Amino acid sequence: MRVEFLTSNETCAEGAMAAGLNVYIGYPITPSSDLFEYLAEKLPKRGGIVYQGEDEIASINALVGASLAGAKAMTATSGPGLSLMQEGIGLAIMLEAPLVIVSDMRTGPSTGIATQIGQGDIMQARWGSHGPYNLVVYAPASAQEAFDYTVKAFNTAVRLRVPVIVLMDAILAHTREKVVIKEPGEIEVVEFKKTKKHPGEYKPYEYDPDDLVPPIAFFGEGYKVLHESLAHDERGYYKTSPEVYRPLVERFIEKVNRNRKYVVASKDYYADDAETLFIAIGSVARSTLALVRDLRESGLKVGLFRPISIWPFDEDRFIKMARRVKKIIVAEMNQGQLVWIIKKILWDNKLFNVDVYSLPLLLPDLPSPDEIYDEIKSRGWKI
Amino acid sequence: MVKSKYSHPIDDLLRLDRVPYTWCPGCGIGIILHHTLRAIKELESEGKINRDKILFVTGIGCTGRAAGLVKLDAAHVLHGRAIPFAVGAMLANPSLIPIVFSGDGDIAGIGGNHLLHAARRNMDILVIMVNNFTYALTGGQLAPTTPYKVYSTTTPYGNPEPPIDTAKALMALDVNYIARWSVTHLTKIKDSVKYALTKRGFRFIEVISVCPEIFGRHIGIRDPYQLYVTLRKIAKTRIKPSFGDIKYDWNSEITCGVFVDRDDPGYFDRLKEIGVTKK
Amino acid sequence: MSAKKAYEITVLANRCKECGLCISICPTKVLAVGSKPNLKGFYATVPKYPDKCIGCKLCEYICPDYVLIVKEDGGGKSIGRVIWNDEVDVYEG
Repeated sequence: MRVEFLTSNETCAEGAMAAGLNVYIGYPITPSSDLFEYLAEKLPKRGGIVYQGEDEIASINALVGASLAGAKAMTATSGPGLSLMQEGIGLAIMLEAPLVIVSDMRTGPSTGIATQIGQGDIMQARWGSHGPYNLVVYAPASAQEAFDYTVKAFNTAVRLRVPVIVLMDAILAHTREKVVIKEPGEIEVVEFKKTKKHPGEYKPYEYDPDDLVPPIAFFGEGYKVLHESLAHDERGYYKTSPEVYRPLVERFIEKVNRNRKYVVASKDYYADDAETLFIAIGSVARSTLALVRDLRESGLKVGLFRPISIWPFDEDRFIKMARRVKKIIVAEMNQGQLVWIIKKILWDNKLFNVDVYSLPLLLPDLPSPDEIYDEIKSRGWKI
Repeated sequence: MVKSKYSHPIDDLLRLDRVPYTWCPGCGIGIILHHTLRAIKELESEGKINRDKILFVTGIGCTGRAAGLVKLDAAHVLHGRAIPFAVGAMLANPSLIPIVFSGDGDIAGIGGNHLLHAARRNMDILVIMVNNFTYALTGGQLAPTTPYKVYSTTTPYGNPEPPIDTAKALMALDVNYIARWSVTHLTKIKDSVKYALTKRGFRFIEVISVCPEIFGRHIGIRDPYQLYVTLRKIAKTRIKPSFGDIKYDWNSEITCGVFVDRDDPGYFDRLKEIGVTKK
Repeated sequence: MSAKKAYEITVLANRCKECGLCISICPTKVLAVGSKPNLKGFYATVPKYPDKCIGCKLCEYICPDYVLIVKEDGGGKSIGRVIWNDEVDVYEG
């Protein structure tokens, strides 16, 4: 264990290495390039390999190949790159390849403003690819959380054989903070669940009924593994019938849902007696928290709920708090993405009498606590 | 059962529960795969390859279906992305022997950028590109390799574009082996694949194929043997052709033979040279 | 004059797709379309005149579906066999 003064890009890289990262394949994009560069220097010294793909599409496809060959693999990108990677993410889902993809969100849409913060990847991270599937998305809000949740991202990816996306932002990426870096012996590191079957009886997509995750055999071990991007049965043979297709995709969805207790995470501040609950992630949550503290000092009963796992959302904890409040304000630097998730959860739990306000902070840079308050005042909302 | 006494020499490299496979009668892919697998068998009997290390990667298309038939570690991945997938797997495990076996649209069309860069890096993989001049699986749309003026479903008035001579184009890069054959070369395909598998660096073998159902139908030759014989007339083998000698013209000559054969350091050799390697 | 070599021509009938490539490429016209449909409905090739076989193996090499196997068979007469699930049809002469 050691105390350092690092940016979230750097602590994310450190967390990856502590969790066993051994293959990094990426493409430079602001503001994540220095995460790539940090690993390009450090990872080879630990015996890992760092490779620059010709584009993000090459990178994500190479990562899927690497993970199915036994590597703990990762990349870091930003909004435009994550958009390019969506087909590859779908491949990782279908082939059940464990991967970690970091996205340092920036101002969008399109090329947007490369060097400034945005939060426009929330929906894309979950729904960017086509078809039915499920995956995990974490949103750390500090350099320490970037370390801790990158470790957790690797463990979740390996445990569930699923791609895990870690959403940070342009400000976290380059903000230096005091952190405690733990060594591999001091943290839980999950290893691949290898198959216990012989090559003759091994089926690549035959899953364990308790966690719905198939034990894995890597390329090169003599198992004659068949990985198939078409809809397939347990042997990996292309099948089009409902008897094969429905269980396959339902298992992709259930794989994450059934294991959610291991996956979900969230934090709340001053929520116990709050009448108005703010919801925010990342750097916006930090600015909002400062606002919440200010408002508390002037006697207002406000609180903050900060999801750390966005998908799946920490619904149980959130609902407990939501039952007690009158108003929810979802502050995010996009036109309203997190707010859709909140509304759905409230509706599913029949909490119809909470007022939900979407606060789309369509700004090119992080608003200060005062600026967030002005946005609220200008809309005429009462807290 | 009577039939178990009789087996084909290649049977132990096939998922026999999927034979006869999905390709059309007379399709050239089956022939090219047959000779590719023969090469592997011969190398194995000479102790020069371990089949457990082979990784057979295919993209989307008729040729892409090959991954589901071979009894090797295999992956049927996204359209155009077989090369990066194979490269990534090999980076994770440098003892793997990737063979990318895919079609002309998959490798030279959508996958063109990946082909270019794998070749540029002299990446240690073998790419076998089956060229049937069309996107057959989806019904016969235009491909980057479709001959000029020929009908395709997306150019019903005739193709206005010159096609790419993929094997020739790659000669501009520092690769270790480029060869082009046609399906009519039969065992020469096996010899070429066998030789290529003993080399390092980037090896590219383009094999002109016959597609009687789609391309053959578009040019008015639906019979598999007639199309085969037509191709045999055009596929002219030249010994050590120069760049200018090589032609890609359905109406006169598609030059075949070995275009490049060197032994420059491959990607892993160069990583070692730089001083950064896991191998 | 040395004795002509004998060959054993085997056809795995249920794999055949009746593409006709083997029949057309055989230089001595050993093969022909059979009269029995296989499990997929194709009329599998039969080695009708095994005596004419010169062992060039072009049929084995051109088959896309791993149907034909041609082996040298020592002395004696060439023989052709078509293998079905439960029976073998033998062709001689």
